[in-house]
Amino acid sequence: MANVTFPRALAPRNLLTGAALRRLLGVAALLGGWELVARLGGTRLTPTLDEIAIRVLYDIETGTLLFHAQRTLLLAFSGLAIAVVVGCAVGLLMARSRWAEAALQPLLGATYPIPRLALYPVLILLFGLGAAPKIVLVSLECLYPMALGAYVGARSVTTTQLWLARNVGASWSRTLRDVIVPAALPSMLTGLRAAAPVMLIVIVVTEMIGENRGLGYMIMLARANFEPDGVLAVVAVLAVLGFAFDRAVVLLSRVLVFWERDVRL
Amino acid sequence: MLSSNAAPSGATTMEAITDQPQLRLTGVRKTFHRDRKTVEALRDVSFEVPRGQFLSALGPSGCGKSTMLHIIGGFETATSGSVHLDGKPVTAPGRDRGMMFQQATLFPWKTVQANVAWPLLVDGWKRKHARERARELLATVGLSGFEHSYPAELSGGMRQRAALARTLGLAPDILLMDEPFGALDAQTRELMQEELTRIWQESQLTVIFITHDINEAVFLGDRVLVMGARPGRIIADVEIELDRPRGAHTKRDPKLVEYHNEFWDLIRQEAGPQPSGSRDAGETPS
Repeated sequence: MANVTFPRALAPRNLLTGAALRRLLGVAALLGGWELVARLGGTRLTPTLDEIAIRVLYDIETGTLLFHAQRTLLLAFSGLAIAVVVGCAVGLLMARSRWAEAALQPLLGATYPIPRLALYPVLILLFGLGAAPKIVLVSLECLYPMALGAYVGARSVTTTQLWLARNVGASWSRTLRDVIVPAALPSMLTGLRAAAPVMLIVIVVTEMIGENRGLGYMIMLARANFEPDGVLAVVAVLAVLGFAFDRAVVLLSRVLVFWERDVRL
Repeated sequence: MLSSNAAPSGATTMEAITDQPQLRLTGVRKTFHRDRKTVEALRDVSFEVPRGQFLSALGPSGCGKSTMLHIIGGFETATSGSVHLDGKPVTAPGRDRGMMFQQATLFPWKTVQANVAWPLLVDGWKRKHARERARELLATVGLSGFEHSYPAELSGGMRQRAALARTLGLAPDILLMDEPFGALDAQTRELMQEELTRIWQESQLTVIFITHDINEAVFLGDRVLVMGARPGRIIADVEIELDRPRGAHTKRDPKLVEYHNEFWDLIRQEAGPQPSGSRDAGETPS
């Protein structure tokens, strides 16, 4: 008989096994390669890893990193939160209503290839400089993976599951809450996993344009001061943040979607 | 017959409705449109089911037996004809008709107990009472000790037991079973059939049981409707005179073999080399 032990995901036991080490090979090769280049033929443009690390520590010490990161994350998560709510609503609606599907699917399909970053100037004109256009752009960009995830998930609800709900006499809202949303949850989390890095990319890019706060601004400032180590320090921090978010979503999936043992994110 | 025995549990208003059939199908017809062609899934299906009867509907795949059950359940609508339950026309699904599907359709994110308790909670039961009732129902189907297991941890047979417990929790007047043991292995299947006769005997429920397995239909049923395909229709309606209570010993009853042969002949004729016009051949077998 199958054996479901869902909090297993939280066990840190496999962190240092051979398999885990092998998975670090690619990252190690990249860093090693950079270090080699920096040491052998390096210029000011290619700071070594320890120089970058020192810069990160320096930025932490002076408080600048925390100050800018806070702002970035606040805007990013605000945008993501909007995308999660709106995207899930749109996706569920499309999956469960033929009208909504007919009306919205072509719209999403047609607008998906448009580089939404190109809309940023328009958003600035509409919302002014500041937080609003950035939040809007992040949510616009994250809307697609979220809506798609919710749509695919809600479509996976079987006819018999819905018939069961009708047989039992469950209301529309009850069916949504107890049947459709749980069934769609794994796919929604896949959407969230796709949205998280998009969120970081978009927020940092918007902060690089006409802004005086945020990690994107830090990059532009370091560039203006001709400090490649400053640029790369922020990039390193962003890499760590991106990785942390990804693992957080995976962990969340394992806890929330414990019944899907076969799905390895 | 069982229909005349007043059920001590469950049913409440027995007096007014004992002599009229509990369920009546009149001229039920169902057509589908597929690739610009009209497919007749059911033609002129009419029959009555007295209260407390275990009715098996036997037929090859594609004879529309599941469609018939879905119409009785209110999940699909008949193209013409009518279904009446206790004199009232059936228009939508309802808790008076408990449906069991070929797949157990348990929610994988809920424990077995939570799955069984769900319809009760939807009905407005208090959480504590629903939990207690779910535990009772699980005991009825022999799943005590598995309350906190998840469906993925159960075998196919156990999942169907849980689904049966959930359906019984609706306190239905009729149990509609759509090949519920069709996906189980042979041994589990036999055991489930014996379990079902036991549970049915205790519950006095009316059951409509869809199957393509002749022995299953005969072993379980008070009566067997044999259905033919293209178009789906009733080709025979036979009372099964095997003693009750039935159990493992019934499977060795020579009469079961006779019924088996009789129905097999009917189905063989039906599935004969050419599906020509002469289809009224075996109306009432000897």
